[in-house]
Amino acid sequence: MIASLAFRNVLRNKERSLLTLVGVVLAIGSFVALVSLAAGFTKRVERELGSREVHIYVTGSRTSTLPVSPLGGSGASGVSLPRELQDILKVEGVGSVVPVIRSSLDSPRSVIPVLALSFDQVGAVFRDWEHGVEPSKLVPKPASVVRGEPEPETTPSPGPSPPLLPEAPETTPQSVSEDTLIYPILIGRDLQDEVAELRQRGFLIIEDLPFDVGATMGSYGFLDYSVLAPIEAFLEQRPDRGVHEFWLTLDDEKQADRIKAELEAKLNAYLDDQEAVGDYTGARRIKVLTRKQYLASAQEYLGYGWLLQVAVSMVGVLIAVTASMNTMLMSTYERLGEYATLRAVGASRRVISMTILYEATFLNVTGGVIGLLFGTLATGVLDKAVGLLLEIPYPMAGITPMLLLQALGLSFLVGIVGAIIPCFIVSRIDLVGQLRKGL
Amino acid sequence: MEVLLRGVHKVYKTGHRPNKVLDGVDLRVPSGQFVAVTGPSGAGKSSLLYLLGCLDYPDFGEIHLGNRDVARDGESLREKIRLKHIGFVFQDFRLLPALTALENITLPMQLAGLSSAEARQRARELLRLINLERERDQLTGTLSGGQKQKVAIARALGNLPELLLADEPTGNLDAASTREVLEVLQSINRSRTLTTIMVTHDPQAAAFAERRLVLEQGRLREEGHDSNR
Repeated sequence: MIASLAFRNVLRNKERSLLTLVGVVLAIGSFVALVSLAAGFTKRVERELGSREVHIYVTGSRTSTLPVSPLGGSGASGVSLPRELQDILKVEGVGSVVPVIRSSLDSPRSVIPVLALSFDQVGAVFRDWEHGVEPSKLVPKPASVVRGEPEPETTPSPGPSPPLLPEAPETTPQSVSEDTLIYPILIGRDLQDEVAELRQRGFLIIEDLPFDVGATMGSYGFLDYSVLAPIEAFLEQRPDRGVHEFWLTLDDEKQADRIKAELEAKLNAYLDDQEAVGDYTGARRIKVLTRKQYLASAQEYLGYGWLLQVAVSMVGVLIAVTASMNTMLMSTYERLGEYATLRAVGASRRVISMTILYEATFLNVTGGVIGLLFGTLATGVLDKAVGLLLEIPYPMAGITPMLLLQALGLSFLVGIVGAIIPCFIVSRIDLVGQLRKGL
Repeated sequence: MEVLLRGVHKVYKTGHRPNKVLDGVDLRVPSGQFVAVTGPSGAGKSSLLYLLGCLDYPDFGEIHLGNRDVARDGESLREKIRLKHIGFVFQDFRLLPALTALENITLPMQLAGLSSAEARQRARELLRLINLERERDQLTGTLSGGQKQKVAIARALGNLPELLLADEPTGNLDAASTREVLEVLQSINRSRTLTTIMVTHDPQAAAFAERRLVLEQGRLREEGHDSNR
């Protein structure tokens, strides 16, 4: 009966209820849309980092730990680690030390993340590189790569490169589905015919890279591809440059903490020596991170973005709370006489409060359910918009059942909070005063 | 239910001026008696009813309903007493406009814990008693004044109270409806031995009661007693 009364009370002032409903729909919808974007991106980054077989990272203290992408991007902090560290880092238990340069290239449509490392060592950090079949691993997409022949006179080969990629297909792909996360990148020169054909199909073309051998790989970062480039091509152009990171694989990851401590001691000693001879002024600007720490650090970066998006959506939720509270207050003040009558015929304060709570939660949860549908729709639109704006070629947002439950819970909470003050007012109602006033 | 008041005082503040409406009221109403309280406007008739109905507390004095001094009880207990032992009828009916006649009657019963089916069954019996069976599914806004007041009486009787308090129950009714409502009250009082206290400014309405009291200057005075009614 109380629920029925609350339901009818909602319908008694349809215009006001509708306006409140719209507020809740917008708030819950924006919450779903914004949080799903943040959650989707976080998940993607975690998958990419998790897919590397790297157990310890040695990196500049301010280098971004986000995966190679336009966002964390090129990741270079300006700190260049001396290449000679490669030998220092080879301690007992370390399987391989892979120097890495994180860079990017401008392209007609996007920034291309570039990960430069020695192709001899690709297999060490991306173990399924050559034979990988697991979708979560970084699998080369043969159909998406067209390799060209380097021009010997203009682009000297950095040396023999291992056959990392399967042979390129004889024909260009007929169609590329966004679901497959495949984007063809053309690497090399003298590929005018292929370029023309692929351009007609609207594919991304890079005609002129500063190195002559490369590959693409799937990625779960901000873009769905990265370019792997031979680090030798970079170092050839700037023989004096250092590298951005060293990626270490260990024989046994359980030894990561011990090896990290050992490496830190060795690096400190090295930096002390450099400082003593005045060769190195950037002392103490190297950090050693285990995989877990690196992921935590990336999550911290992502956390800021997530917090920002949650904060923005919370503004909407606060507005919804205010609207709901305002509606319930107006409704309560209008019905003080009725509530006094209910009290007079024996309804307890708890029952009256329940009526108000039912009314508020009914209104808000209804708004929440519609908000979920609206939010799902808005997420799709937002996803497309962000994709177009930032040229992200795949859906970024991740709407999960948990997110929908959270949003529904939030709408319930909005109802509860919106009903608190009205309940308090009704609990202190002047019964006699209201009964004398008449309805 | 026997009603007993001893030295009940009540002062209301009107602006900054205290207004003494009850000044040591003493009253004993035996169980099953139909009492009418008359008096000029502002004499404190409604205040007396609110005190009896556990809707307000006296400043001093005792209010015994049965063997219990409800003036000393806390609000939670008084809520239960209102729900299960007292029926209240108001001048302006105070029916909930969002509910039908039947739902208005079943509401207190359901609050008291009766099942929906049981409450509806009892409500239908009450509607039959007041000859409003056909109007049971109408929203109360569509009923006439007399019909509304009869529904309000039925609502007050839903939980089989031992005390019925009626505050100017005919104040907003025409002559025909007034008579109907008073006959219903009289009939219920007789058939159920329900202690009934009615406040009215209308001497003709008061004449329906077995005992008539006048409230003047904060005190009650006996005006007439007709034990044959």
